[in-house]
Amino acid sequence: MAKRNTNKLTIIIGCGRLGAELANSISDDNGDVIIIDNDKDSFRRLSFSFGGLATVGDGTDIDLLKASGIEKASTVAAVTDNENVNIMAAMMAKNLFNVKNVILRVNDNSKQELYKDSDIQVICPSELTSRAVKAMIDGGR
Amino acid sequence: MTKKLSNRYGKIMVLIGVLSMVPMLVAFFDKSQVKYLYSFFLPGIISIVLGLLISIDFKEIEEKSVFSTSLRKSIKLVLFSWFYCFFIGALPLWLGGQLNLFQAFFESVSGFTTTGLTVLIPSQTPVIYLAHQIFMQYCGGFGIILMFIIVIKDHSAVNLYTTEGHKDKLLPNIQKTARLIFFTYNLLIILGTIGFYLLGLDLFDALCNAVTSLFTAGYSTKDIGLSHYNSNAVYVFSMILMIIGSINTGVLLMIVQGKFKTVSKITELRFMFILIALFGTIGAMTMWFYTDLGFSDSLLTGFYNVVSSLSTTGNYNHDIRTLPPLVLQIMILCMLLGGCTGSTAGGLKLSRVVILLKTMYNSLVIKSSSSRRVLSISWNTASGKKVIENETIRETFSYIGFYFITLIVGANLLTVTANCSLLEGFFEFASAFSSFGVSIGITGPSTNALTLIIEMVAMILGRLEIYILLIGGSYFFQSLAAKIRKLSEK
Repeated sequence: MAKRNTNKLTIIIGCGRLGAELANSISDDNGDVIIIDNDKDSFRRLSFSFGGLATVGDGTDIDLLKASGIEKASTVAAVTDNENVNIMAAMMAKNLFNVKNVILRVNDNSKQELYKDSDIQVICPSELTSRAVKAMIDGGR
Repeated sequence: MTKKLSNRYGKIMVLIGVLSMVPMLVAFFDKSQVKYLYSFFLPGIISIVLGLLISIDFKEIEEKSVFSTSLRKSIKLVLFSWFYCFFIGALPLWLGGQLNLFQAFFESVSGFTTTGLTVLIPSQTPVIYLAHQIFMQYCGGFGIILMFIIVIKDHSAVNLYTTEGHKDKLLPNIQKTARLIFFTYNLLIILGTIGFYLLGLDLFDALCNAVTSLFTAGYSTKDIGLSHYNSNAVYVFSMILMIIGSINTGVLLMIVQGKFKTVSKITELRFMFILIALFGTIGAMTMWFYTDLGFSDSLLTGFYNVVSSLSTTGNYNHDIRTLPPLVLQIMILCMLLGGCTGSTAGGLKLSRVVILLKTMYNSLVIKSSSSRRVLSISWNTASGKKVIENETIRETFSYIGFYFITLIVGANLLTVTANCSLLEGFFEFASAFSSFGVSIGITGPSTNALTLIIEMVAMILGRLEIYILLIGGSYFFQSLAAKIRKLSEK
């Protein structure tokens, strides 16, 4: 149901191209979204009609995460450009705050293996891209 | 990918149509008002039908938001909805034969901008129109766009919300933020009504006074305002409501949640209480020395007038014309400063004043110390200590500049059109400009049209903040110039 969906809070850590795009699309669907980044200037990537909250701060800061209401969040997406920060934030969300849905972005394919058995959902852009490109190559043949 | 959306202008017209029919509820309680119902029903129903037709027939094309075009569209829509409100709000008063069309328009502008200047005489006006006045202030206090966002989910809600001058985002979702604000103030109104009722006002008056005090609006159901009740308890209670009304909504919620420690550090709030204490004392002392009031009465009158003008409400407990000039000047100063940002008060807003004073102090310090010294200006907000950026300072200073130019030009124009002294001109213009809304005797049923026009412009400029009107005006002239160029080419 679309209506229930709007009551779920999503916290996005890192306002890069991916984080901003994600935040904009959730906000456009009238969902609750908080985006955290330690650089204020990065929030310019958010669209003019972004309706959520943008917080300046460290995404691995426990007080900040608590103040943002991470205990009530249904999803946390760690998508900064720093792999280790992402991993740290994702593990905190999962282990300290018991967030149901945790999404972690890593660029290094080999790190993906580490989280295969945990509850954290890992996404690796280079792997996704390579798969897509491979499909194009196969299709072109 | 483009998607057709139903027209937002149409939706706004439907909403305003529905809202304009709300005062009809009074007829349930007072059967003698039934004969006036047509004057509310006609404009309401016409607006609803027209709005429905427009929203069905003229679809808007959805676009990816580009800053410049979406800003332009938001400003157009916000200006349209406010002016449409003014128009629809004026019709019942005109159709009901209470005022002529021009006076009705003035009354409506005064209502929706929560100013409270009036050309009606409450004791000679049917109850239903008093309810209409109060309800206009209720809608205007929230802001018509905020009401729109509460009801309708819209892609550009945030653009509209910020364009209307709301700065707070309290929750991670704009519609929920709007609903939270709506809920908070309605709850406060209910509490206020109960309070006034217990103090001995009848239910209708209690409700009206709760609304006008909280929204710092200032219409009254009695000719002489709150002084009609002549009760110190009523004055004190309305003072509390006015102070609540001039506190930022976000801070108000923090107080409800019990975060007193954070709240007590907020610079703007502290500044407000310092101002109230300082000016209140000066006002009370002046009253004591220059009038024949007793000590406790002077104290109450001094503080009451300062709170009333700082929160730009416009309740008063003493005949304004007999106040000593010093108190009048303090009141002018207070109403120009206004309440906290994000509250229902008008004026410059105290956050701007804080930035101004801090910057002035800093430039003094820098002038008298080594040229290598670097200073940054910081203040405490609800979310902790923050450095004020140069961009903010620049914006604040230019706003203050615009504000005072408008004030000086307007006050001087008033002295010409209303043939009054400079102090009276300043008082009256500042009163309209800051949405204070007490007249020093210039505005009334027999005021000439030019004076009313100047005051109307002042009220609109004051409520919607100057920039949006300037930008909107420049768009209007741009498109007008483009049209003229096209015609001359033919």
